[in-house]
Amino acid sequence: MSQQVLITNIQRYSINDGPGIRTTVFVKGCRLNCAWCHNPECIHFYPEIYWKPSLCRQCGMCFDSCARGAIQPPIALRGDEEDEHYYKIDLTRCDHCMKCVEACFYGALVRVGEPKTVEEILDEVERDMPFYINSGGGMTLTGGEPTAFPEFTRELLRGAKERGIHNCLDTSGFCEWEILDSMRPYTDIFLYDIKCLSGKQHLLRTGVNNSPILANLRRLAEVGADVIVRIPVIPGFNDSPEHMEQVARFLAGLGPSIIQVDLLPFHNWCQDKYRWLGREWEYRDVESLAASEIADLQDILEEQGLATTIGG
Amino acid sequence: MAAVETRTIEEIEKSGQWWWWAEHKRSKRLDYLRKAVWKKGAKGSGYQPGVKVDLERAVLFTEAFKANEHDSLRMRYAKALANVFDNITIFIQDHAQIMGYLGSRPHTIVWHPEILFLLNEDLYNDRTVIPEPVDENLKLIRELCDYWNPQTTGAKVFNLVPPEEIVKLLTGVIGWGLPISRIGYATKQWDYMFRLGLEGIIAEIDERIKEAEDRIYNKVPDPEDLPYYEKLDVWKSMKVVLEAVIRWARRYSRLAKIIAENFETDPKRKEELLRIAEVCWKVPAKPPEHLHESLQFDHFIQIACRYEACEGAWPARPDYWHGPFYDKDVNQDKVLTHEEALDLTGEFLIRCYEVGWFWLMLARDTLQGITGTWVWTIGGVNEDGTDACNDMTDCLLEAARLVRVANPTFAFRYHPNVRMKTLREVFECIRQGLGYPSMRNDPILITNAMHWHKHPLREARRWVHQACMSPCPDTKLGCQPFRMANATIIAAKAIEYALFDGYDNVLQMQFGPHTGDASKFETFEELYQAWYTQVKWMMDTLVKLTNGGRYMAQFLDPRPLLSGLYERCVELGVDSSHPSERGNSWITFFAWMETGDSLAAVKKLVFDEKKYTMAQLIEALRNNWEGYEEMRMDFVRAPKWGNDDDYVDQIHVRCHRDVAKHSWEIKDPTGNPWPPLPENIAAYVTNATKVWALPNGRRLGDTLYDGGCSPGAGLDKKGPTAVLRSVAKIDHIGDVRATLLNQRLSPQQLAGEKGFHIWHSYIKTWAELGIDHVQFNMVDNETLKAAQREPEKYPELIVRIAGYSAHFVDLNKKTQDTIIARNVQELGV
Repeated sequence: MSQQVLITNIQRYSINDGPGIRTTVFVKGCRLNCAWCHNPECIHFYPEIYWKPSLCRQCGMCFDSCARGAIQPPIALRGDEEDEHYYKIDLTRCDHCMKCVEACFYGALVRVGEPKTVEEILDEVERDMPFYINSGGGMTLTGGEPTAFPEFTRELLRGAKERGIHNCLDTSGFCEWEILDSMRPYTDIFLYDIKCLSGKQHLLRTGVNNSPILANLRRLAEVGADVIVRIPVIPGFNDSPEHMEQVARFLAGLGPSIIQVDLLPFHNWCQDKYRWLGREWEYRDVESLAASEIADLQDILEEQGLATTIGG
Repeated sequence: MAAVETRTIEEIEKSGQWWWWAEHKRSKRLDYLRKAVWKKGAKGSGYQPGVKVDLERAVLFTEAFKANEHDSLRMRYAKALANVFDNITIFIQDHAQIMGYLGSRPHTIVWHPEILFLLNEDLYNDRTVIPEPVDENLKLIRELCDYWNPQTTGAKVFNLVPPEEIVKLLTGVIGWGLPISRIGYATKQWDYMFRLGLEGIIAEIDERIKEAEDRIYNKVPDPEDLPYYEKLDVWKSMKVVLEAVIRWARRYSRLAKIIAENFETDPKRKEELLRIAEVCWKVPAKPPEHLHESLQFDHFIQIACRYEACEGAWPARPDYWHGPFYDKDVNQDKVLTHEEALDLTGEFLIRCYEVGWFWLMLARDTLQGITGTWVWTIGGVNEDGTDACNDMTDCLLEAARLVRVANPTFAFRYHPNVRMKTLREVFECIRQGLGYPSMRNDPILITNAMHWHKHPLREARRWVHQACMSPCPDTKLGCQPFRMANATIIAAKAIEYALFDGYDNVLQMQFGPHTGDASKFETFEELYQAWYTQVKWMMDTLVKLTNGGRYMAQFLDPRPLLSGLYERCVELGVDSSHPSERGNSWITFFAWMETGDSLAAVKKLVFDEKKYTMAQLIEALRNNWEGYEEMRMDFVRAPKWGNDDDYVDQIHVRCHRDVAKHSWEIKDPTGNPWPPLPENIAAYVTNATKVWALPNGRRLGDTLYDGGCSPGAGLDKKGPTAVLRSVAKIDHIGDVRATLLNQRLSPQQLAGEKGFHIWHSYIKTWAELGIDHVQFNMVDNETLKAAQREPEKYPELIVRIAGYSAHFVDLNKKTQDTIIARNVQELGV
């Protein structure tokens, strides 16, 4: 029995995470805590619960099922309106036993994060093999942060390679070089996130220092790995032309390893996920960026000779 | 709307508002013709305001029918039809280049009083379509109803069937109406018509008549010659009506000339009218030589046939038959520019779109928004297997984007050697949210046509869609109006009957055979066998009745015009509905995929996990799940089709195999099998009130699944590739005649070169998986919701619903909601 890691989603037919038609595997757990994170369910290393108010009928079945008194008693629903202050689960008491999820008939309480083995994941990923072959696609491993589970990630990538599957590893780069280096034999393309070049800003908004991230990227470039750099464009954080010029110069200086840059415009479509998890999100009311709004940033990167897409 | 006008075409293109884009891109002529159309499709079940019934056709037909009462039935029909062609009012629309309309005025829909008394009474009771003066016309309609009702084809077919069977037909559970060839499907035999022209066919008929008369009158008496008395009448009736069609076309020729020479002041239009006069004089009497002539020939024949009967479909392969004329005129002789050809082609589509007739309320409901399932076949291969795509294919696809009609739609025969240029045109139509072409897997369907109905390879390669889905060649022996539109069953009812010992909870009567008290079933196998018995009984009952109607059609319901256009019929002196040796049948399975999902849920929760007993299940279902909501949610969450899950998928596969096996045991009048064809048109809404609660968690009235092999709305959780993997488990050659897969993709995903690359690799994989059909709905939910709120702003927004495209704003709220509820199968977000 190989190691199990919590997986939040195995998403088939992904076309924006590397070349072709891909299956994207999301691991649960990340050392960064980016303020804008659009996969908040993948941050914590333990299973969590979504509560979806629109599906909840306040039937009280979950209330009855909870031994720790972590479930709020049913309230009368106020039409279509969602009560901003009401959240079903008292997270200070909840121990994620999932009894309430089992009790819910309406899919309003949902477990987030299923333990899966490498073999289970690969069996599912392999099902779309004909699509990978025709489109030049494959598997993309993302999260969360796959390098937070070095042994598992390496096994998964190696297993995929053995089955003839093309691999992309989506990483923040925040790990020891040895871990990243050990993934190289099984990784066709690194999808490497760069958030900002200022160490201070990076620490402030992601919770970690960016110097290992930048150092790892330089080393990947030195050893000649294929890298697609992905830059989430966050309003008011890293979207100034001046900053993008710095990034462009930095990336251009890394040489031919950087095969592409993807600008990922900020979106707030994930605000429901925060609500379902019972978390506040400071970006909830920030408008999503349209591709056209960051076209000038794309120009800046392309001026440095970097092939750049918006949206991957 | 002023804001729209000031935007550039580029901006409109970017915003994806293709209906505005089309308005700006098309020529002035096409814009005029497109906007001058009276829409004949129903909104909900009522006709659009202003559309009126045309009484000229009914009156002229009846007049001549009465005057020739000593002739045979077929000759009376022939003469009645000839009287219509000789006397019905004709008109020429401004800017039009293609002539021929089904009705005396552009806003009218014809009424065929000789077909069905139910239809006649529907008209008498539908006061919105009666033309002025209403009282006088109602009196006339009453008289015509009284004259025709007892001798309509419907009344005669009723007499073939015992009363208790009629009840079954009228419920819609088995059979969608009556087996009547006048409302069946009829592929036209273009090679025969284009080779000879009607005059050439008449010359052949004359030879046959001469030969018959020789046999009967001048030979030593021989009993073997006696059938020639009958054949002689067949040939003579063909001739009467073919000659009348030529005269009808030439009336347009004269009218065009009269207008040109006496009234038209614009010299350019005058020239056009004189050209029209030449074209209509020449075709369909003689073979066409130019694109304008071939299109005009085709259209005259299609309209003429609809004066004869309410054909339930419009099978065509326009690129294959008009392609050589396009090539000659545009590429070789350069007598026509591409833009001129585009104008003609666009108008050709509009001329089809504007056709309508007064039709049954029930049918209007099920076909929402369109007059019939008019799917035109394009692409595919030639008889020798080479790519058949040509410049006319591209021209048709381009024209479709400019005129954006909901009917006809196209279905594209995809094969690995399709030329890239054409594939890009196909992609562009899908990307622009047209909802068509649907994609058909050519190698699979060629094999399928050979497998089920014995078509030899070269002929099978010439297949056209019979209605929405079925492949059958347009060759001498392939062409036959043999499948009738009534051959449908609501397949999910077999599950209901298996669970209730054949009792119908909706109709409150014993319907199917007794298969035992399901609450006492101890194994899954018992339930499965009960279901199999019920579904076989439904197929048998349908086929018995339909075979009867079919066989008798040549006597009760002859079609002299259509017969005269078929080489086989002219040669043999038989009616078009006379059985040939090739088959062309299928049973449409409405609400089919509920079957496997229901069986799988019972297997899992009752027999595998033993969470519930059969008795509990029957009790919950009897109560339509009311009071059993928690239990129902368990059944809803049981494994469902479309998630690449073998537990449920293999049950579906088994159901398909067993039904296919039984279809070889029930033969049509040609001795060929009746294969299943699962699809739904809009019946997934209209049938929702006819199917009782089911073990897949469905309650009475819940919308049914919308495809033939599509998962239930929102039940596919793993995205489009997992759906394809599930669907590929069905054998699309041996299990079904065809089956319909709906998928919706949002347009942002398919932008640019990357979008084409992804779509192309998706289609390549779909083809390799051996799936026979897929159609894409490319409109996002935001647009649909906006269209729901403000329908007046989205008049041309087309969505695809099972089997065809319709204007979204024409659909009822429930259907609109179902479309919105379907997963937008997002990529990567």
